[in-house]
Amino acid sequence: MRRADIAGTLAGIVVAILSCAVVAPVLLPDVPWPEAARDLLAARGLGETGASNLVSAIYLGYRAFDTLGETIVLLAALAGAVSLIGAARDTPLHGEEAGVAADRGDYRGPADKRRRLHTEIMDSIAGKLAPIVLLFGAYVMLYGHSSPGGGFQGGVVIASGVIFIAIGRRSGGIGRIGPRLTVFGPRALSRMEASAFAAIVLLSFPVSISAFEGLRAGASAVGVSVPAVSYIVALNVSIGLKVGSGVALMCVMMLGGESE
Amino acid sequence: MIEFVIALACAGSAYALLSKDLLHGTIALSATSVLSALLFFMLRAPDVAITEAAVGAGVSTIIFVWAIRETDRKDGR
Repeated sequence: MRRADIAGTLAGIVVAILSCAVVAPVLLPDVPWPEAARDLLAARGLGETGASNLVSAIYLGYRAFDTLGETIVLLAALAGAVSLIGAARDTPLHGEEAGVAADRGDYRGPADKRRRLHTEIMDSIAGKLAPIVLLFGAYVMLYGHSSPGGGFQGGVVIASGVIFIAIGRRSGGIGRIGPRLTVFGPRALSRMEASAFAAIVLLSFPVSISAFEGLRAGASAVGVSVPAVSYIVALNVSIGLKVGSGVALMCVMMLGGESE
Repeated sequence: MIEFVIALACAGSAYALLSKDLLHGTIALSATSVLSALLFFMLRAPDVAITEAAVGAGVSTIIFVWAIRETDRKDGR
């Protein structure tokens, strides 16, 4: 047995013991589960936030700062990925690496990387499916307070729709959305992501919640009733736009759409 | 039924780990994601199921396929 194999086996055993130690409290339930917060949220969550989906009510109505942290993590990950993709596009293989790649016969020039995909499925489906996917994403995003879904899920579905648009554009098939419409281009997507992130940050602060309550009181004084759930809807929409435009930006740059 | 789905998901992830063709492994991983989404739905967590289907089977598959297209399809070990 080689030394590397022995070291790997030992490391595997240590990791297995550590994972057992982590899972042990779940498997050996001597201590009862903490129930105070759970019961409080189950009893008052729906009434206080006005939502009818308890998951959304908790993670946006009570845990908005946690959600803000999640979006910051996602923002950092996307920024890293986008900068890596940009660097990889700017500097082609050179020196030793390029020589090795050319020897192996699999080095393709930048022009070849951008070759057009021509399959019947792409040509006929991608452009037509995109509006339906975008509509479903908007539904999941807007109705997250009352049905399963929410900002994150709807945002990723919207990103899939934008990816369909990008693929349809590349294939040049029938029914594609023309390149002159730059709403789905990288520049517009990054602007959308930045403004949606700013909206999430603003909405997460307690000041904005009291401002929203003041707005509701003022509106009801005039005679217009603003439901309490519209705060959660606003957060869902900004999270959905942020996640959707961020993931779509990364994928569109990966597909090489930044030249459009 | 739940045990059956878990067994299928385990088989899919094992194939994804062991497969030498990375594209086949990616497809198996995507199928595993769909099965986990089904499992989440059966366990009455539809929010998580939507997330798993959209992220696991959708976006991450696209990212993996792009990475394979830009590098090498065979596992070089």
